[in-house]
Amino acid sequence: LGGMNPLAGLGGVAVNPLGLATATRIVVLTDAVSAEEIIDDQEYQDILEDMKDEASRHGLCNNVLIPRPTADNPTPAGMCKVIMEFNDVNGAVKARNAMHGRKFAGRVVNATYLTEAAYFGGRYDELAA
Amino acid sequence: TSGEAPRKRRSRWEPEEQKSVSFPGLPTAITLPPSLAHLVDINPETLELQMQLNNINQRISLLQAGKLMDETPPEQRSPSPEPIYSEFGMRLNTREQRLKDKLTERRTEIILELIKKNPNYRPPADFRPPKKTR
Repeated sequence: LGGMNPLAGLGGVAVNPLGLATATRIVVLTDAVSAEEIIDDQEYQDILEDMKDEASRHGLCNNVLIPRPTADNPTPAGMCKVIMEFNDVNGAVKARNAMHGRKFAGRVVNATYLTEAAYFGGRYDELAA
Repeated sequence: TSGEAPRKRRSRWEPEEQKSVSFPGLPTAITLPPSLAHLVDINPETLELQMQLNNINQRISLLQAGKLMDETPPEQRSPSPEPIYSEFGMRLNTREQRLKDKLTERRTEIILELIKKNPNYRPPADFRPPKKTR
């Protein structure tokens, strides 16, 4: 498990170099889920529910994606990230600020934004400007 | 087991900072919104301090009303200090004044302790922090 997440062992809230990234409607969580967890269907569904519930507390959330490995594609774009599409930037900013630095399943979550172009283009690993 | 009934899931999200208190004897925990949390204090340590403070406030108001009686028999009382007089010849350290000073000092101590232990505690309006220089 420790090998999954190189930043997890550093302790405390990781300094987010993208903390001031331009806010968009799309929030991306990294360091929140591990591959082992999302391979299991039940756990994947649970985590998806947790994320949808939490996202909805901050604003209207249109969609939550957690790219997981499949037989066809063992390393899909944005694997182990949680991508949340909010209906407006306001909800996304509230969610991002609430989730960044908070723990999920014991791991300190890093939350940043993804441009809409990258989101709709499926380029989930693109770094926000 | 993946039953059809909705399972009671516990979110993996770390609980947010909230003041959650449970009353012994009551089955459920009550979570107060932060806006109300300062009104209710169930922490036994600060509750005890709060009770002491109420007791002292009561004694101070009794004293001011001239109703606080000293039950110690006169022969058991410790000797009074030398009297101190003001420039107008008024005695400053009367029994009442000395008792009042003692109670007020204890009151200040308790309030400072409460502030330290409970960040939501709001000191009484007439409370003035003591001067740092001693």
